[in-house]
Amino acid sequence: MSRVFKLKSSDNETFEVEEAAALLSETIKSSSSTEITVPNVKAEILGKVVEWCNKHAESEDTKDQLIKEWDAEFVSVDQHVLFKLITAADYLQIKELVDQLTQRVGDMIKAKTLKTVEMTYPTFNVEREVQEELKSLGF
Amino acid sequence: MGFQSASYHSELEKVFMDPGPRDWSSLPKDLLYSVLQRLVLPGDYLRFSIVCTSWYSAAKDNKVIRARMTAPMLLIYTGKKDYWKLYDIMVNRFLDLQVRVPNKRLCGSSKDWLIFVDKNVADKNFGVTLINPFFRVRGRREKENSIIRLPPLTPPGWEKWLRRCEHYVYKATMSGDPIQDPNNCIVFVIYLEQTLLAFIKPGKDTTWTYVDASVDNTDRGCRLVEEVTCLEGKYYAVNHWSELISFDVTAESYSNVKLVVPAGFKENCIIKRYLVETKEKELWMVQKYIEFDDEKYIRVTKKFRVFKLNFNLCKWIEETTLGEFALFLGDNTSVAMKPSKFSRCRPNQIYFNHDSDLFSRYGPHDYGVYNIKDKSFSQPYTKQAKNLVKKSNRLPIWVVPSFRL
Repeated sequence: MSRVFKLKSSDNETFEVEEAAALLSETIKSSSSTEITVPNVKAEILGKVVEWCNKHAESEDTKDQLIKEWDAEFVSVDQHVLFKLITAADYLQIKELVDQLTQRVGDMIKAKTLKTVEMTYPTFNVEREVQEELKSLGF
Repeated sequence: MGFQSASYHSELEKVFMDPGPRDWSSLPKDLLYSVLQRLVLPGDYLRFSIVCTSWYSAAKDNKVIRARMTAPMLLIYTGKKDYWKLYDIMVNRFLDLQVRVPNKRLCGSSKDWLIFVDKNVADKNFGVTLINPFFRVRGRREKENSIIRLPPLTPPGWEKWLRRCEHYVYKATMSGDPIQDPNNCIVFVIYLEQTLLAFIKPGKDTTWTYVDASVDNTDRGCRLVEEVTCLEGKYYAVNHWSELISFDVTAESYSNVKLVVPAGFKENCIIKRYLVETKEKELWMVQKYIEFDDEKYIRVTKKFRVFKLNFNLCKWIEETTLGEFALFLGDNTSVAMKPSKFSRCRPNQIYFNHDSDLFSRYGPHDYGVYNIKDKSFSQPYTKQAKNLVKKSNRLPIWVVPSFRL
């Protein structure tokens, strides 16, 4: 009989997760209790993480084309959601999900679709600093 | 500086567009490194660095990734259409992308620009074109100013070369950068048949300036030139007799041509010469000794000798060590760099490519790494890389990754 885990979000919503899905998280795996509170992660995000775990637990072969397409759609979220997901997946230590999410960030950087935030000092200083350092390396 | 260009301002606008909640600025370092490791080009690395201050620190602190991004890369033709691949010798891996560069002989490269001779079929002449492969990645949007076409080359006798114009320029080098530093940018070409010198300032000159061969009324002078470089505002050319000639470049002209080092002892072997300036105000000449085996159709590099210019004595003084420097030699503008201790590039080595010969067309196979200390050769490239070079049937070339947006 497989155990059922209870994950509680920071805004007090509880998600019931089957053992196979829950154990995709190293944090849950090494926890002594079946009731885990995930701090700083709201229900909206925790729900998505649970959705990912459920999908990956039920699929036998993770190399399957269908699940790849599902994963690609899963990570195609708004930038704000993306980073919240990374924080949650990192806390729960779900390696494959963290990999997929960080890959998505990398792809957004390459495609120049990652929106940047205002820095405390102007951008061109960064570019100049990097170039100065290159000069010191002999370029 | 280049910060005022129009495309730069639009990049800047994008940066300040969306000041949303700052979750990503508090991401832990190991996650940021995980993203950093997936980035391919130094341009991506720079884009990562400007996301916010904590990302900038993470990028700066990861010295290993940073070191990886600073060494020259090998540009190899894939053999298909106009697709080329970049091979990172520091990690012995191809970059996970292809760049679009015409399937033509590249007669030079400088920083992140490639130089080739471009035939103008309509006008029945040929010119020299600069192209930046890092802004022409397959699948990504091409940057507007990634191609710069220079005026046609028309010194006496050029018409005969129209059909074979790809080989008309033996070697092309560039000082400065056409976009970032246009006031100091000059393109030099060494053209056939006597490998004389010509130069142009991109965007400023409308015609090439052809350098007269005679220097101080000697027989040799500015002919059979092998490389040109710039040191502290002065230009230097080395020729087949290991003579060093200096000159100043003025508006659409040149002046003050002087023979700095006269011809020395003549050696009875085939030597290719490279001229490289270090950022420490030194001028080096490297002599590469090669042999041809006309039965096996191969060229072999036997050894290198390095000389430093003694400005006072006007002599080449042989050096037995490069110190902290590594050299990258080939058809590219010769590069001297001090590898970071986090990089797999080792100092006191010469990373050499199979580059153009005036008369033979063997290759490409004569490439590798020469260790100055024990005078040994190695070819530390993967089988995949060696196979691609062979299959491409084009000489590979060093190109320095672009650290620009």
